[in-house]
Amino acid sequence: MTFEKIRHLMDTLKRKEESEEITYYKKYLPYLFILPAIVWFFTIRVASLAYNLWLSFHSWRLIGEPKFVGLRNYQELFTDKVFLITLKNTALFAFGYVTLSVLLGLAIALALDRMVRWVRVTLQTLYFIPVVTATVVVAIVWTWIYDPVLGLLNWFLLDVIGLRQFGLRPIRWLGDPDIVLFSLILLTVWKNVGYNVLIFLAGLQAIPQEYYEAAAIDGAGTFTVIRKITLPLLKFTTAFVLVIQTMNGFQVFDQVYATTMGGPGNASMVLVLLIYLTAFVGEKSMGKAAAMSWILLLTVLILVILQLRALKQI
Amino acid sequence: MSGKKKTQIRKITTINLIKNVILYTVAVILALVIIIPFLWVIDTALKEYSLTLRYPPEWILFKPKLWNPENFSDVIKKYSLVTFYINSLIVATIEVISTIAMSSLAGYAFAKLKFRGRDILFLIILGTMTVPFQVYMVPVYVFVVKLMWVNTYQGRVLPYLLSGFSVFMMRQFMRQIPDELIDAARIDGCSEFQIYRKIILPLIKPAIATVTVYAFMTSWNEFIWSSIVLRRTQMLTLPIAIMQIYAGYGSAYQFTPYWNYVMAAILLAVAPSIVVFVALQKWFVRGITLQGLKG
Repeated sequence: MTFEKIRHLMDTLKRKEESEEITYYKKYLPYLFILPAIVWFFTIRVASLAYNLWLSFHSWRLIGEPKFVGLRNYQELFTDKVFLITLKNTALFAFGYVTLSVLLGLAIALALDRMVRWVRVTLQTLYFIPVVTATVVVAIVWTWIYDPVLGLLNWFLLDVIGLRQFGLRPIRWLGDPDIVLFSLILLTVWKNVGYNVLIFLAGLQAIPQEYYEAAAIDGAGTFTVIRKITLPLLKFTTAFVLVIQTMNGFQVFDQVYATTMGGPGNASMVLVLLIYLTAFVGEKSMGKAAAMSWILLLTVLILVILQLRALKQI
Repeated sequence: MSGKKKTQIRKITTINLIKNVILYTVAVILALVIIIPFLWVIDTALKEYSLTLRYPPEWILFKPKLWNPENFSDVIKKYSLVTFYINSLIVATIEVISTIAMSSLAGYAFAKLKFRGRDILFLIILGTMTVPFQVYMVPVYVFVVKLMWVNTYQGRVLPYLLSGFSVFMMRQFMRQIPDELIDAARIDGCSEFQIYRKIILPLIKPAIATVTVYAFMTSWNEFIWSSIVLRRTQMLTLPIAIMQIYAGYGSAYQFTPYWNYVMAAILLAVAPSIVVFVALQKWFVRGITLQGLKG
């Protein structure tokens, strides 16, 4: 009797131990799974962000210790003519780029949506190839196309179409401060429009056929259908495309670095290039660069929130 | 996604005909606008240098007799492209493997395991996706300098060992795996790591493909961080090398680049990304549209 009781007690105890072990193991195991990722994220993302903010209130040239200067970096930035021109250029570039690439992307997607499958898929793939090509490479290719003397574009406009007869002179696409931003926008749109086309096409294909059939029965023309059915149903897709391209627009760097380096003068100086030059070339003012990058971050965040609000996604 | 049959009663009316003509003319124009720059690159890459300086520019694509394929072997030798290829490959391999490993582990935890802080942590990771890379580049550079990792592979890959996108993709995909499968394995006595290795990994091949393509593209085309961290010629990756070939090698600044060499080098450098894209585009497209439709 007693033996049975003892054995029964020991069994119960052993089971309890085992289940505790399992719960202990189960409780902390997930953290092991996410540990590498969390360590990386915390160091490279979260701590970086915080350090960047801290650094923006200091002055530091990579030698010695950072010196606390409070808001001076920000003050100096907003009274610096070059910085203000840079902000203006970046905003202009982003605005032009986003508008053009989104509108074109949508138009092309609407056209492709109506085409036979093999044409649509081929064009979709073709349009995506520039997207997966390095931006620097695209920029260098377009520098060659934009060449004032030997370039393809001027040759096409002046001699193929014949605009030379109408008095047009060779255009200095990247050398004329008044059009350099436009030239940069154009090449970036060429590169990235395929991405927008892809997303818009996906959104378009998600619209049920019944809507279009009902509209056809009611006798609605093509443009009415687009305005009243297609576009409202694309609100989410449009919001996504706008947000992605706005971020792309404000983060522009590769193509300016590869073509004009901000020139002529400061006509194409953009924010990220200025950050790059401030931090890594010449004076290496880390604090100023950090301040600029926070201004970039805040600008992008505010714009994204505004856009999402406008499209009623938030 | 597609596969809807558009049941249309096609009336052969004049209006329909005109609409179709316009539509397909537009298609042709669209195709041309995108293709012509590429054709021009290939055309220039095949030219002997003196031909590139001619005006009006001559198209030699259809004149094989004028082709100069030695450009490609010349540019490889002259600019030691092989070194840069190897560097880009090493960097890409490290980044892809690291991303897949960390994101699938974390994705599994976020998708199928329960623990405190799970949702908050995931939200934070998602949130970091909205922050531009350029905001991280100054602090990470300071970090890399302090670690003395400038001009090293470690320094170059550090900010790209993982991405919010890959964690997001993995988690979304893994959520679709039926819980019963995992519970059955647990009852059978499998440890979580065994479940991860034997059950999850084989099932998430599409997600791995998507993340691989995405990480590879990011790595192969990366420029800004490479130009910050890699200064010694032997360590450069392809995008920077192309930049150097274009802007003049070393300190001597050329005013007119050797366009034929530049274009040849460009073709050699972008070939892998185009090949990878065309071969694996299904996964790439799926990843991007998933972001767009469910983001």
